[in-house]
Amino acid sequence: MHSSRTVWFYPRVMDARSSMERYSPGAPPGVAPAPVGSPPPPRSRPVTSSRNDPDRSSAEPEEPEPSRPEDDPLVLDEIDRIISELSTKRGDRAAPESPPARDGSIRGDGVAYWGRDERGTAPSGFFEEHLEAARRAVGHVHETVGELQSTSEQLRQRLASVETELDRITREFQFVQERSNAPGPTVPEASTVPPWSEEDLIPPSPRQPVDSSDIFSGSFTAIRAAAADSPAPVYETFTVDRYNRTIDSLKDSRTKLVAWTLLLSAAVGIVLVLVVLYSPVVNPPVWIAALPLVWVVPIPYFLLSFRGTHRVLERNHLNLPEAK
Amino acid sequence: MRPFPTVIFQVTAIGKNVEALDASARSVLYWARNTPLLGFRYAVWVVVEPEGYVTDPSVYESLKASGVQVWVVPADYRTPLGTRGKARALQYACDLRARFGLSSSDVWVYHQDEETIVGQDTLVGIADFIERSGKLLGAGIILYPVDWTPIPTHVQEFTRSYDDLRVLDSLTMPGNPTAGFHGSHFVVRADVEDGIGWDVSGYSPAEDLTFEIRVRARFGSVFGVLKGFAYEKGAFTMREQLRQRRRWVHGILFAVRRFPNLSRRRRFTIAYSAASWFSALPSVTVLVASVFLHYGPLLYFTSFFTGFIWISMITGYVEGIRLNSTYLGSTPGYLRMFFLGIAGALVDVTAPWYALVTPTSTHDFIRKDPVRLPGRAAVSPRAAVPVSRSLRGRVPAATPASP
Repeated sequence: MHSSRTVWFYPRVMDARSSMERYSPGAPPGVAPAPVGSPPPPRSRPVTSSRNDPDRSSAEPEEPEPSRPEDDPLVLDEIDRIISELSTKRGDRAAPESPPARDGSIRGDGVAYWGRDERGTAPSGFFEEHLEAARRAVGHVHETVGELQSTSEQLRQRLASVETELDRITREFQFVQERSNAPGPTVPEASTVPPWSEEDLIPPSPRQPVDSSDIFSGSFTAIRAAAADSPAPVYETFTVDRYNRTIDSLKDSRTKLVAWTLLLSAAVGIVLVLVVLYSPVVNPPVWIAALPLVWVVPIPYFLLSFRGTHRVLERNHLNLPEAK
Repeated sequence: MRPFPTVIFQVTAIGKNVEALDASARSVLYWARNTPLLGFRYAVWVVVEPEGYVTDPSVYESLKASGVQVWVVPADYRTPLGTRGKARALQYACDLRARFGLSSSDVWVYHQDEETIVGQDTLVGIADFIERSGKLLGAGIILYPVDWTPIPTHVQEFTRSYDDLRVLDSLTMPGNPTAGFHGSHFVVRADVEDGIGWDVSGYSPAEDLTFEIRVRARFGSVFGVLKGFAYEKGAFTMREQLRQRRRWVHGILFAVRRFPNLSRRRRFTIAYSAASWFSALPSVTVLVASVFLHYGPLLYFTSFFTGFIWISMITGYVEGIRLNSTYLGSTPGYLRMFFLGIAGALVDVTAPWYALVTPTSTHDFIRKDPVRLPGRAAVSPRAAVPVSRSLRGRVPAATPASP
């Protein structure tokens, strides 16, 4: 495995024109390549400083923002910084004296001094390889940073959820406390005091020691797990809001319903009487003539039902308070 | 200091409709967890028969793991009077509460059938009732949107939702003039229920009616309106609907003929409600016969009321559909609903007479778990297996009682 230091210590003579040119798209034509076998020139400019070059930026139209992490100016700066630090550390051993920059070897994009010399040789065959490795490493770092951001976002959401639940716990606690301190059971209105007394009720059976966990052993974890397993059962849509809307709709139509019932009843009754009027007159035997009496039997029941239905809608508002 | 109330959500059933029962219990767990500031402690009890438990023990074990108390009524459990059927299981639950010291004024019991699903409104309604009503027992309106399919039995159930308004009024009036009560979706104070008990001599096909009679006889008019809906489902076949209604009729007849705690006035009102129901089939018959027979001048009198009864029955369907439609995805057109309703009504018309000619059965089982076949939604299963369960209002909402 190559280490990045080979960039500096093991210059090779090899044809790397095509690859180097790929990294020096801004090189002006006619620039002389670096001489073969010459040591790597000192870095008078950062390797990736092309984007910060004021001459370049003024001369060329502004490029769109890079989409790849390895094209990000900050990332490239960071590579420069790493390379610079590495060169400083190893300069004592391998390049105590930085070789002077060769004329014409420095190109506008800052990579040219790694290019070919006049003999057509490049100072290092490892540069491109290690630069690519560095780019990959940076890409990996970028991905990791992205993952960290995502994780921190999830963490933030979960913390918010914890805060919400704590808030609910506080409200529940206050609610339970208020209810526990409330006065005794509600007493019915004087006119509707029920004719029972507490003495009528059976005395509670002698309490036996009961393990409360035996009776109320529901574990929230288990309940939540069970609820999570089921694929959205129908009862999850049975809310207070839906109930109130249904009841409102029923109650709103009550007056109209009474009017229509009476109107249509009268209309049907009149039509039936007319039918009887225009039917041929006959004198049937008594047992046949009395048969329609069976139709009279349920009349009180239906009248009571009609009255009761509308009375319960009238007296009871039936609506529920919205669930918090 | 006022004790913080406890509500026991009690599902009492044979336990063979495990899918429905599971949803019923979990709906309580879900909304108890998701309704803040509820105002009561809660526990969920499932009281089932041994044959129900063995239908699918894994479901019951899963419910236990979720915090539900599953009680299997011992096969050798006997009440002092030897009651059978659902009343036996209900009495067993009373005994359990007494044993655990839960028969007190700060404990309430909310009764569910195995298909009774609760919503957030149900729980808030219970909290509201306990805090504000000052009554000892409250019943509310039941809708039927669960597993709804456009079949006659399900359309017929809509009328029961609207009829519940009549039931609530009657229940809260002295003497319960039109004999209304529910076997589910009612909340009662535990010491009241456990003091009254469910034990009767032998088999009571309508233990809820006998319970209401005894509570009224002992405590008077202590019934209130429970806000919030409960959500149930109808029978899947007309045959099961017929059996269900038959059991109601047997319950009414049992109360009228054999129940000792019934005052003369109360006995009369229950008998009259039954007579209204029984008059439905003769009324239809007389109507059809009128094409061939001419009844004479009596029709001037009867025609006057006939229109009212017809319109009242139609209103039951229309308003029932409107109440339930908020909770249904889509409903068929009114014409189709009309014919489905006619078919469903004919079952209700026939039921009391069918009950007269068939013996009381303790083995009626109404299937509430839909059969799901590949490529189809819920399919009506054919009832087969024994034993009865749920009990509801005694008189159907709209019985064609007059031409």
